[in-house]
Amino acid sequence: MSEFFSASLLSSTLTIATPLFIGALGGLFCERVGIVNVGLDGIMLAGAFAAAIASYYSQSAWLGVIIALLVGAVLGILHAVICVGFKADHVISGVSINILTSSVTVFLLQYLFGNKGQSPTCPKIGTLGASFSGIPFLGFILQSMSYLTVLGLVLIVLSHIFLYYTKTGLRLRSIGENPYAAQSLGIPVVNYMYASVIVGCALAGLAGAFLSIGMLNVFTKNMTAGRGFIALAAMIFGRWTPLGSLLTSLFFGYVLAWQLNTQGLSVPAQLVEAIPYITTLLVLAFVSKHARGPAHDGKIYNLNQN
Amino acid sequence: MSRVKWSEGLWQLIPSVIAVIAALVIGAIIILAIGENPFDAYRAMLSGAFGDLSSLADTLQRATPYIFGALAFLVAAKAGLFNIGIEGQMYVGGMAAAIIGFSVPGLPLILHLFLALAGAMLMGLLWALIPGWLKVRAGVNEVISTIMLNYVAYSVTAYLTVHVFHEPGLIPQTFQVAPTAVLAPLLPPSKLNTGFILGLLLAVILWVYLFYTPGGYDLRVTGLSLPAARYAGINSERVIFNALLMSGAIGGLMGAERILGVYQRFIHSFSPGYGFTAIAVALLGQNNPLGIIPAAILFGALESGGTAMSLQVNVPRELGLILEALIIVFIAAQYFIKSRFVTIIKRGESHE
Repeated sequence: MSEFFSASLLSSTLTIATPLFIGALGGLFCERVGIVNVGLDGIMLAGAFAAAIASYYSQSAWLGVIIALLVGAVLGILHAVICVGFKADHVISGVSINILTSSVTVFLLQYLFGNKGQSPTCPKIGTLGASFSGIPFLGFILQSMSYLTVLGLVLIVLSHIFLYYTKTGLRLRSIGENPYAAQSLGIPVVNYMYASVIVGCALAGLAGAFLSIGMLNVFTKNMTAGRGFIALAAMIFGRWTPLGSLLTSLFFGYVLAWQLNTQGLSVPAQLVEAIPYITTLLVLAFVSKHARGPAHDGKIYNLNQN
Repeated sequence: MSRVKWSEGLWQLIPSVIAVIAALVIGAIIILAIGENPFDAYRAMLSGAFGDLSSLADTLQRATPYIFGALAFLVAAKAGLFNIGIEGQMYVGGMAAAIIGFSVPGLPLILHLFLALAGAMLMGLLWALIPGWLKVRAGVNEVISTIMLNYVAYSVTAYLTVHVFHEPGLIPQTFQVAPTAVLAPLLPPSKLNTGFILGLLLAVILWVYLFYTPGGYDLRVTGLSLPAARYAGINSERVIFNALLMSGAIGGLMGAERILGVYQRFIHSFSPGYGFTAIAVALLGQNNPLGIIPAAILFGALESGGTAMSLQVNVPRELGLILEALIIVFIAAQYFIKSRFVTIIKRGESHE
């Protein structure tokens, strides 16, 4: 039993889940105003790169976090201009962002450091540290917990309050359901869309920063390894809610952390790696008819139509 | 009236041309920013892509997976589906081709090759059966299910490569396929093989199918308007399902070309994202089977030319990939550009 519920297992669960639930939150802010964000993975990659580079040159990890947020926001502007301004297909825009960031990051690695594989090591974000180590069981988890994980958990709670207990949050959600109705109520739909997509993409940048300067202290080529897509799945699986996204991310994190611990067992790692994806497919197959996202999600909002 | 139609048809090409030019301009700015001469860089790129027979062969070799991948994407897209799972279908198809290629030696050449290609198509088809079934039965969005299946395909083929068919050595790769299952090279020592011809043939076949057969008509109507298709008595669920299967089969074939023609064994994670870039190629080719061919060759040229350029000028070869990405960013805005042009033409028409 302790093997499945040890402090170290839970600690690594939380670490693995952090980029997932922050990323899922980023996707959620986009989809709640009806903009699908398949480019989540690419934005996370750009955030990871920006964070490592800024942290390396300034020797300040927190500056890295801020730059990652900014780079995410800039890509958010790009995504919003393409999807809202140009009324283009959301998935196409997302795919183009993924291709763009994976090539630009490798290009810049090669140009700046003459090394396509990885950046030099850089300062990383600290952990809560020894002041919590006195608490039994939880102490171990807390002391190795990154400040970014704490920030992510706070953001989840704040987003929940914002979306469900404020007027602005209610308006934001109404746009994803029916932008035309929202518009007829006098809500500035386009402004909301831009703001929400930019915030969502900035969060995706933050999720990426956790990979390069939260978990590690270096950026490596294509280091997101599809985590953006898992974050997207966690968001859908969590029914487009912050708390649901957190829970499903923790579930994925647990499965993946457990996989790291089972390397001594005879189960091949490659097959265990597939478990979160197969689980997602199975769950989607059974709950999809009931788990509907925002009604206008992925559709093009065209003012002239109404 | 006829003039409007004619010019609208011509304008359809404009967004692709604008996208390529805009990407080249931004690429030139990037080259300037790192202190090199853009004209020198582009000249080096061009001669590296088309300068002589061997560089042309390299360009066409790199274009081949994009032809298959873009055709796979297009068949699904014409039915209104977004198949982002070509990468996974390619991996399982490639693995099937490899297994058939090395496990039954001694077969006659044509039969063995045919079996390997058919096995790859079948495997890709079966892999697409899952999202198709999930879509029709449970209403699961194919974008999500095909993305998930990419990772499953990646893990399963990794498992087979490392644990089941592993050829002893440091590189995670399977045994070599028998010579009877190899797609013959066209211009050795380049990796260009008969798979390229197969891709061109497939493009023509799909073009005829989509625009000149009742089945293709049903498929296009379903993609354009589901209610209209239902009203016209088209069994649109079946059409969507079949389109996805066709897409998966072509994705499998794409893997077979790489495995049987280029690597001649399955190498773990051999793809640098062919399946995703192929989406860009399909869009650049205006979702037309014949338009895909020049688009794929352009992308092949950016990659082979990029490599040649980095040897001559101090510009990283990833510039080619950045140009690819910029082209698709501009293509993503094509609806805007297109609608603007059509509006301008119509306005001009009404003034007369």
